[in-house]
Amino acid sequence: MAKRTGENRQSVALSKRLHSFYSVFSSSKEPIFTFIGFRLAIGMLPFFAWTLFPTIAPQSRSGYNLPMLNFWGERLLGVWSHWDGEWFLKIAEQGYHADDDTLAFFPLYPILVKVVGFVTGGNYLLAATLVSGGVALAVFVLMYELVRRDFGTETAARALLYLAFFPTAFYLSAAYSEGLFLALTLGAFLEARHNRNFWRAGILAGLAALTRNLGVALVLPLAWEWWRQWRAGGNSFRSLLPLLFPPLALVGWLGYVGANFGNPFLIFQVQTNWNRRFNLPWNTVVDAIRIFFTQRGSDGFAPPNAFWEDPTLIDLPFFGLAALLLLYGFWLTYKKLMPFSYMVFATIGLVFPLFSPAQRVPLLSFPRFALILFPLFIVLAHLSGRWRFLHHTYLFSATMLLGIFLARFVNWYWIS
Amino acid sequence: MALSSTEKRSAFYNFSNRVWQRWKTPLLIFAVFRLALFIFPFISLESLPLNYLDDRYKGIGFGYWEERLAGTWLRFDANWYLDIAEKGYYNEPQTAFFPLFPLLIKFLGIALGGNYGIAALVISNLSTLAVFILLYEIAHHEYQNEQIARNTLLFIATYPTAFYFLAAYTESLFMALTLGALLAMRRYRNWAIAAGLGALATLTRNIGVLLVVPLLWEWWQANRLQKLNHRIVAQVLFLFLPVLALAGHILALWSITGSLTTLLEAQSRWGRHFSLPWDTLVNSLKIIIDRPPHGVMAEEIPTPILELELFFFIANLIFFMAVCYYGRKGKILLSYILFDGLAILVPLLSAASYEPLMSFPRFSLVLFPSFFALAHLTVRHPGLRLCYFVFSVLLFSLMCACYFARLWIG
Repeated sequence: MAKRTGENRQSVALSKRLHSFYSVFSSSKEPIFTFIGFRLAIGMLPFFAWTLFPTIAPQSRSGYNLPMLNFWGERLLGVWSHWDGEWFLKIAEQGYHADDDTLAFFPLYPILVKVVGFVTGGNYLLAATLVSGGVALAVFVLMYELVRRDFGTETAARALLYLAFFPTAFYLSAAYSEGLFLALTLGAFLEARHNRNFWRAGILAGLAALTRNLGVALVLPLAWEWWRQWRAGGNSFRSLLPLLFPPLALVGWLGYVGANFGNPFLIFQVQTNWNRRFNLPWNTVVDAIRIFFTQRGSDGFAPPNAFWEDPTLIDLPFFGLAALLLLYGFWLTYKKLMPFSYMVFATIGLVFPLFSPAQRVPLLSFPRFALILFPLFIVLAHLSGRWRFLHHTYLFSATMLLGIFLARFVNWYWIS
Repeated sequence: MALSSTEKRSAFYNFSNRVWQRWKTPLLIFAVFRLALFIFPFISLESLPLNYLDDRYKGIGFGYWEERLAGTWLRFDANWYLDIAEKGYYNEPQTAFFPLFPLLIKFLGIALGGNYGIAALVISNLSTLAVFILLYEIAHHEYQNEQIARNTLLFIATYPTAFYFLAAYTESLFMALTLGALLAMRRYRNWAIAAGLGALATLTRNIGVLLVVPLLWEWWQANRLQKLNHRIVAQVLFLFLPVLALAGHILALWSITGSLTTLLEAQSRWGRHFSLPWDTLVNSLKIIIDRPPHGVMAEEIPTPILELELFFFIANLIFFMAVCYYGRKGKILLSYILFDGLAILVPLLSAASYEPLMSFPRFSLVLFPSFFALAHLTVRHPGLRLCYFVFSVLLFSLMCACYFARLWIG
């Protein structure tokens, strides 16, 4: 009899666990299916893009020998390692070196690739694709969860769609660190704001600080969240402590670089090898506007020679749209419809790249940087909730751009 | 005092309000479609290298704005239509193009002071609007369901080659006339207008003549119990108006070239020849397999798009199966299915030697029953619909960008 009760208890516990697993799954059904659709569409496109676009020679610059791949390997895996991807693979396989510009890249993503690389038997390309795929799934689930807790399921579903079909969204599943960074950031916000667990939030933000330079700035929005909750009498001073993790992580990374390569500030100095220099934000914007209008060129009959180099045309419109959404977001904050901490993060993410413009291309890579400004997708979802017309317009236009951007990326044209 | 009745509004307000209430969906979808494609050339032309296939004829300059607002819609075949509009039929390859579209361009172009390019684009844009409205009306008439009508429109507007509607091609005009004929036939039972529009559709594209089949079938369904009299015979003969239009076109070409088989000869001038459908498919596969893995196989094809064409064919075969399935369930009219099947068959019968399924992606745009089937198929599965839309718009974007850059995509 006793044995039977024990069995029962076990099976009840098991079914409870199963049930809780199922409830997690069913509450995340929407993002999971969106992810599947996203990944399938993104994965199929290289097969067409390769046929339709005129190919150019690989613009490989890292000196890393990408493995020779056959038809399927190239389209299923190889395409995701283009541009920065090969740098991350190089770091994962060969580690950092002082003299080869690798120090511009933060270490967490390559570490993950390295770890998964052990499982895949040294196939870092496969490892990176797996890591990015898993990370993109996490981004979708967390984005949906975060927005759902704040604004309900409808807004969450729309914001998620806007993120998934943002023109540069394919970087989430490429061998880039954007996806990992966004997943950690969303996790940190979710923990701090909704689960009120600043220890976990601090750890996630610390990891984010090891993923991209922007990560250390997460301290500000998280501190605001802490202050808001503290004012309401919700948490203690002790929970302020984990907010030190992001700066500590950065210091740790600087210390590691200093110990191994002699100069901790090498990670800033190599930026000049990437043609990025310090400038003031307004100068960057003014430069970008000037170049936008003077370089437009009369390409109707004679296209610029290096068309695959910099389509500078797309950077400024992305910046402009992001800035407009940011302003509208602050209006929503003023109306108490949007958390202030999100807008703080969006502002930092928008302004941060303006401090280190690339030469001749002041807003280099901005369309990609805009991908991690998740609050702007929430703002957009807000707008389209009022104005349904915007929903279809955005989805149609963004997907059109996604197609052409991805096709460029796949074919080794520069995109962002 | 508040306005309490509609009499106080102007007649124009009442009219436009009625139009808006009735056609809100097609007008909005057209607006999004048109707006997105206003902006897209500005980005796509920066994204892809222009191919220097010369546009032989062009009524518009090559400056920055001209190119993006008009020139991008006047690639490839558009030049043939403009040429015919300006100078009439004067050489052999021209005779493959049917006359109604160039004729309209000519009339409007003269009214616009000789700018045939703009005239062609005005016609295409208006026809596109007509296509959206008419398709919406037909779907509404057939299914009495707003959701299905709206989804049908979304499916056609996101079909990967839908941008050809706005280009100076015959697709939009042909489809507007075809849908007009079918609407006249189905809703108004007006056989004269249906046959007349069918004849105009025939003068726009060769497959217009296929409209005889649905017309005759529907007429038979409606009148088979009637006794034969001279009025009935006259009606039946009138339904053959599209055939008559084709005959008239052949005779007109005969008066120019002196040959009754000009239409067929023109096809061979374009590399197309008669082929059995299965031969077309087998050849298409064979060429893909035999082709060297990278490189361009022949000068005739600037980009290797054979896979794409085969992909579209297979997709449309699946759509056709779905159409037949819903036909069996009584949801799609038999005459539509007949038209659909024949319109798939015709391109298979005249294969180009290097590219057996040449232009099939574009030809399949006018197969509107597929969009009914897709709308039915996904009515309970919004997720599936979203997947389809996303993939389809991604392809749309690529193919549209290629078209703008003068890269051959059929």
